[in-house]
Amino acid sequence: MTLHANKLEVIISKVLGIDISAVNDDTGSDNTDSWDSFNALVMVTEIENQFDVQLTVDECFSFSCVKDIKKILTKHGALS
Amino acid sequence: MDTPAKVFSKNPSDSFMDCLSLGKKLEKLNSQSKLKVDSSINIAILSSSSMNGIKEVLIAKCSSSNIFANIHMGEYAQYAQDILDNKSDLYSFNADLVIINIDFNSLAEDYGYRPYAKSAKERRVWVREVSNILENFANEVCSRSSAKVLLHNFEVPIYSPLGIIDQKEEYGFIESIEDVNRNLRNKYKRNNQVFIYDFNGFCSNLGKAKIIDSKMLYFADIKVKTQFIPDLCSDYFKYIQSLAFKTKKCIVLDLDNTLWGGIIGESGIEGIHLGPNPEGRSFLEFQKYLLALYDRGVILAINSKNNESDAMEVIKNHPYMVLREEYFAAIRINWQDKVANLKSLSDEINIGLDSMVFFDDDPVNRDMVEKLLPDVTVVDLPKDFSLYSSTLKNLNYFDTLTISNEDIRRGELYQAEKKRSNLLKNTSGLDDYLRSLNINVYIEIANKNNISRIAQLTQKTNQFNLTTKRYSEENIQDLSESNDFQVFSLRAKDKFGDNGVTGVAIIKINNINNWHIETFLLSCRIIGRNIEEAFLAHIINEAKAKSVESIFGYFVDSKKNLLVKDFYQKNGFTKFDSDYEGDVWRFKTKDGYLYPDYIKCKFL
Repeated sequence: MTLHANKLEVIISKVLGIDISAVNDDTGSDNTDSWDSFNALVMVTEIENQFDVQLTVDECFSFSCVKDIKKILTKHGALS
Repeated sequence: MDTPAKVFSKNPSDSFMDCLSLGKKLEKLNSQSKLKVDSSINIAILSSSSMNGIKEVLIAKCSSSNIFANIHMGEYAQYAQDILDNKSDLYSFNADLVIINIDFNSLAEDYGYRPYAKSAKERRVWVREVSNILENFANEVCSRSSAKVLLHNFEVPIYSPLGIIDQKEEYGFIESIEDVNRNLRNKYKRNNQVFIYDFNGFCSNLGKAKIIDSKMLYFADIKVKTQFIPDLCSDYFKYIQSLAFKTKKCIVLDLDNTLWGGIIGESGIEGIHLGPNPEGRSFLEFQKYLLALYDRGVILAINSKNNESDAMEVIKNHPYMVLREEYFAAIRINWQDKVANLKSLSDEINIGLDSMVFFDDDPVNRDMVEKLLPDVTVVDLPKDFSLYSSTLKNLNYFDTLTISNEDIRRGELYQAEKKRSNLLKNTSGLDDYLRSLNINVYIEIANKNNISRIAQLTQKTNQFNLTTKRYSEENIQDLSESNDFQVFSLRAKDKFGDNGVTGVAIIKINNINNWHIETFLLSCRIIGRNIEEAFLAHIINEAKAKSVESIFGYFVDSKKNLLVKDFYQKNGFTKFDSDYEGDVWRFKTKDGYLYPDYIKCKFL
């Protein structure tokens, strides 16, 4: 696991208010109550700030779990 | 069980995410009754746009001062219904503070996009109408509740469709929005319930271009980027702190590398940096900003490790020293540790450690004070002294919602106190000393000139306060008009100066036979001169004149008022009862009561 991947998990755990050990690729709106539309936007803001990327409008609406976010970040070259 | 401050100290952070999770944690602890709350406040937030996250962040901010905030968030864009419906949750919530944040765009409709579709005359009408709408909302809240109202002004736009010539236009677009803000400001200048929050200033300070996140705006109607929400809450906190009586009163300053550059003991008065040159200018300005705080009633004191004579020479004789000796209420320049000095300063100035803010360039001293005196607020002074002034200006510890004459004259009052102490050193007995002061006290019934000060005293006085009951201005107003209460204020004067209104007694008249002293307090400034005896004598005489048989006095332990634990006993009252709140004492007016003859007492 790279350092960056861990950074993402810290963001997710803080925004959702869950333990970092509980964050995995499948963590998403299906299985986490606090993953609501507002927190999803907070994730976008934090990810943009901390990974220094700008997500497109489509991307902001396209993710519903950690795996999706990783795909987006990989596409932006922010995650390898 | 932890207090909010304790929970905060485990997770101190200013980032939005950390505040968000801290706020959630505090809310959860409180709902499970796992939080030890000494001070709480009810805040309602009404907004035309989405305020997600503000609740949690504000709870987190308040916890830093050990306040727990109960927050009622109005439904998204439902502020008008909330305000206008008597039965809305807003009014059953019993808010202490109502924050109204109505965004320009939510009222502007087309005006925000096509301002010049209106003529100059129509633009003026629009400005008047919109000002009226905002004022009306604030006034409606006031008519239904005694909460303080914090009304946002508008963010003044940078953009105008006329671009660079907007300034040339008769009653231009930007000018028109500025005018709304001007109207609001003028409207509430003399109103002590409604306060205008300078949201435009907030946006300018952080950068209008940076504050908006277009994605957040269009997807979630969030007007302030989440990363700036902690800054907004810090601003709100200034008002909350004042409402919760947590305002700091005193700045304690180190000298070397704090008030001037360099070390006086090494460099001498010619070698230190202070004055209008590159090395000295930031210190000179820092002192000027401190003096301005002194002017508004903040007490200044010195806590420095130095040879007293070296340091005093600078304070008295350095050509660019701004803060001369007379601006300090108390001075500790010695080789004792800073913690011992802070304690003795707190004794001498007669204020709690929790009212003190400590400035010291040395991180070791700061750390020691933080660990050993957790009540003292320690400023994280940057290494770079050119940032001292901005650090000072960014502190939000000293805000108050009103400034009384006593606040403005506070420095002068402490100066007179220092002279009194010197006189005490030079006279043999305490009685002789008090006699030589020529003390005059003036007792007055509460009236429109002193109500605000009376309320302020009940809110701020901790030590000489028998029951520590807090009253708002509105409470005092009501009591002063009631036949069941008598509200007395006391003003004390002596040969060194006028202390202003410094005592309050509130009597509840139960029936023609019994009076109850619901509140009896003196400002710490005049303690130790037996003035309380003259005040009590006045109450007894008034009671006698009205053929009242018994006067009941109460002592309620607040941990800070042990000074007056035996007050009634010492003054001829006998223990009547103890109830869950404290001790009840009785005085029969047929027993005589004498107060010191060196105090001249006059009832106005």
